[in-house]
Amino acid sequence: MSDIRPLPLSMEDFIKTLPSEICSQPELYVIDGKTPLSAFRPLHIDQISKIIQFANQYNFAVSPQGSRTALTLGRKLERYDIALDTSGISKLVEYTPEDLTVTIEAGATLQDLQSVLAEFGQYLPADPNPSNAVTIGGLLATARSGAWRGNVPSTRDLILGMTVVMADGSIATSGGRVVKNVSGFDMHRLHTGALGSLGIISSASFKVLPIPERSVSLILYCSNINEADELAFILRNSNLPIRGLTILGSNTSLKLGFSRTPKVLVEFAGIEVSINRSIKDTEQIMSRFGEIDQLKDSQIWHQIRSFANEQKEQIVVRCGVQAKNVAEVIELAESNTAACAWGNLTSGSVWVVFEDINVVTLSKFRSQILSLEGFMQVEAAPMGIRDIFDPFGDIETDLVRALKHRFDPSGILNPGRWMVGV
Amino acid sequence: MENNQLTALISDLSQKIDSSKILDAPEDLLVYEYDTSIDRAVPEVVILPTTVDEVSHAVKVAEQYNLPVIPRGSGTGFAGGALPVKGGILIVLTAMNEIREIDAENRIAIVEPGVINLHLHEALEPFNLIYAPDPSSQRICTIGGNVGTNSGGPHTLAHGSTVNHILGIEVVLPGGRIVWLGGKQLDTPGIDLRGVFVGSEGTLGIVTAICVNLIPTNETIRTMLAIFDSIDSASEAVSAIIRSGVIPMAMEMMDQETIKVVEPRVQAGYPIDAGAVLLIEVEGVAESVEHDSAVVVSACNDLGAREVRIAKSTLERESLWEGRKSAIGALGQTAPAIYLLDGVVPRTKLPEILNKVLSASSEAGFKCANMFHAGDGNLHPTVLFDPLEPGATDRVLELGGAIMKLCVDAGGSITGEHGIGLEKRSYMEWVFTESDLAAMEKVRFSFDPVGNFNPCKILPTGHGCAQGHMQITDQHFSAPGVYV
Repeated sequence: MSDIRPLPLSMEDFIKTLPSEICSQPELYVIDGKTPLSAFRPLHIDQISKIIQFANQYNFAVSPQGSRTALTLGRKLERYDIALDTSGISKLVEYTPEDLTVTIEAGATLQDLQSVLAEFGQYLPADPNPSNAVTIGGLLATARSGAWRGNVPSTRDLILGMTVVMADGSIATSGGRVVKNVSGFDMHRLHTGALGSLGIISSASFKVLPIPERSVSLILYCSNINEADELAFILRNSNLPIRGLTILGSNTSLKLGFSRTPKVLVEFAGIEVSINRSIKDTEQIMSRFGEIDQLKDSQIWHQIRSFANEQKEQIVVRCGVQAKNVAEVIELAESNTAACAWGNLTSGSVWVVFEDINVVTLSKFRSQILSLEGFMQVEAAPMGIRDIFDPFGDIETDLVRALKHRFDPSGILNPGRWMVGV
Repeated sequence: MENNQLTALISDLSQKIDSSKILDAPEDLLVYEYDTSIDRAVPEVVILPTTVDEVSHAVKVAEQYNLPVIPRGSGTGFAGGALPVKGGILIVLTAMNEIREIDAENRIAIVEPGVINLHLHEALEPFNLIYAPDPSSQRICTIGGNVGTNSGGPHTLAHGSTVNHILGIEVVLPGGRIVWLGGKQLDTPGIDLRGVFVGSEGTLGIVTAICVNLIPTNETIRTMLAIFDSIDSASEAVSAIIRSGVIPMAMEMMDQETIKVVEPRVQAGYPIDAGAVLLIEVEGVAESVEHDSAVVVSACNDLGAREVRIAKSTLERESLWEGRKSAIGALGQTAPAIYLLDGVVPRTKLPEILNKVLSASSEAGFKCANMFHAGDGNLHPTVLFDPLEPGATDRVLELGGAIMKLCVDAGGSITGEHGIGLEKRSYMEWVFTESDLAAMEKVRFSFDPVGNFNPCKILPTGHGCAQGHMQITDQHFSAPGVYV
């Protein structure tokens, strides 16, 4: 259901000043049932700046969006007047393969970036949920990561600099384009994960890495979660070139077409000889456990990422716990409800997709995670849940409010995403 | 500060801090008037807390007197970040030096800010784990100081700077409020306050505990010394190695001037007549180390390396590193003073910029030695000079500025790992626009609205701070250790 609001005169006049090709249809940008007054798809950073300046002047709330894959991450928007579609800002700004550095505009998708880099045998090691269709701006604003996190340097480790349109329309850059830089405050780290609440990311620079010569994924069969846990720890401590190490809960395993018992999924990436050694060593380790299968490609990792998809009426949560608790949390999540869970040992992240869960049970689950000194964040959920359940849990509020007040005093950027008024 | 006010300040501080941890005698304060930069400044009071509550109390008292608070570790910073340029309370954190916890299973450690970087490395050895950041000063610098400047080190090439290895920090904020930013896990919910705090040089608050992420030691490590006749060919070898798809753990270069100074003092095995040496380290499983070192050797030979030596024992490896890590100290013994710079250029521009740096130094009449993180394009030109020679300090500072400008013009940065501190504030405008700096100021004042946390650092403008270097006032030293 959506609401259609009359266009204020100021907005009508403003639209007349813009090239028609950047004005889009508001009904394509509904968020939580709410249609914005206007939608713009700027093609240049100066146009973003102009739109934000206008919005700030007339106090219209703006919601930046790229591939629209994380619209239900965070609380419901308090206000929503302008949809800012960043997908038109997608140029490659600079790429110097020899320096392993790239600068790209925020509306380009991760897939676009990987294609450019692949021509030179390089890549940005980022594997966010739900897929590589996310834009660079979205990747950064949500700071999402996947199974590679903690095993190889990830987006947060490789970001070198960023250009942002501030809430007053000014353009601010931080960091730089060289691989090592500590000049000034790392504003790019502040915007990474800030859900667009402090500024609109317009471009970013990264250090990139060579694509490993070869990668291989193995699925390791276990009879129970304790065995999977033990096995995952053996692998983690093995020194082998691991890029992904995930414990799959029984339900996740079933959903992927395997038997209903926990599994360990491991990806090795490196040169041919080290991959061969990794397979051999894993086979040897598995002689004490169960069967082992070498997968024909890496499709399974994409499949898992796609489970955390907000398009369905499901609740997706991300838990952060210590490595020793990963298996326990997977078991806990899957034993309580019709849920599927998987966890990455190195990063301590456990993702859970609940097909159906009430707020009381969800709260109880969060309490259990908190008792392990961990956290639970709701990554995607229907509006009804987000209306009454805090997606983030206990976070530092005073500093976040102070930052919001200074960065966006009128509260026009994604207002309410973090907390009331922020 | 008037005497009666100082007495009242000390009295207020001693309400919760033992008087043995409070220093106010002039001769005690002078010990803390300098770090490893050129400038000097004396605090009103120094405290040496051992608990977070004492730090919090000091911050509250400082607020009552509207005094600056400046955190300090071992004072190894080259950018003047620990100098109390507006006086105030210097909070020296070296007595908070406990490694509180090493959790090998979960690969984390919780340390206090005064823990010496190397001490943590040593404590982790039995667990086959490492804390990756290893600044060259690791034998004396503190983890808290590393967090303050987002330090790097030789192994930054593979592992990244300090921020990539910090999971959480306990900080004292204005009002003496104590909070944890981040936690024991990666990617905690909320805006990444941890990420922006690391590298903020004490301007946002004071770090009192740190949860670091640990990584396993590799199965095989191979250290190589490639000997070249010129810096140009060594630089080209660095690019060729990266181009081949191999990213070593470290790629360090030393030029002839450095080798000539280091080798007689350290006996690291560097040939004294070499134009440049590259210290290259590759790690991983045995198979990949074989492959990667073959690539490295071949690239170096293709670019005219005179010889590529492979360390045959741990002792030999340590000796090669000893030379690199002792280089600054060795250079310091050859001249009354050294001025060590920190700039970054795109790796591919290394030869061009190095030649320009050497020309600029020679035109200014100074010897300049270079030892640096070649893989990252992170230069450390080290200018040798005598501060007693009239005008020499000013000319050195001018040369430093000119070298920084070369880095900026090449698309680089004015600091790769030492920080902006006091020294480089005035260069910030070469890199950042007014609007960039205004955004940074918003962060500064979101954390510290009054601006009393380490004032006059990082940002170039405002709040009664003079531009650039502070004037050396008349009661100060004429040379390190010489009071006049």
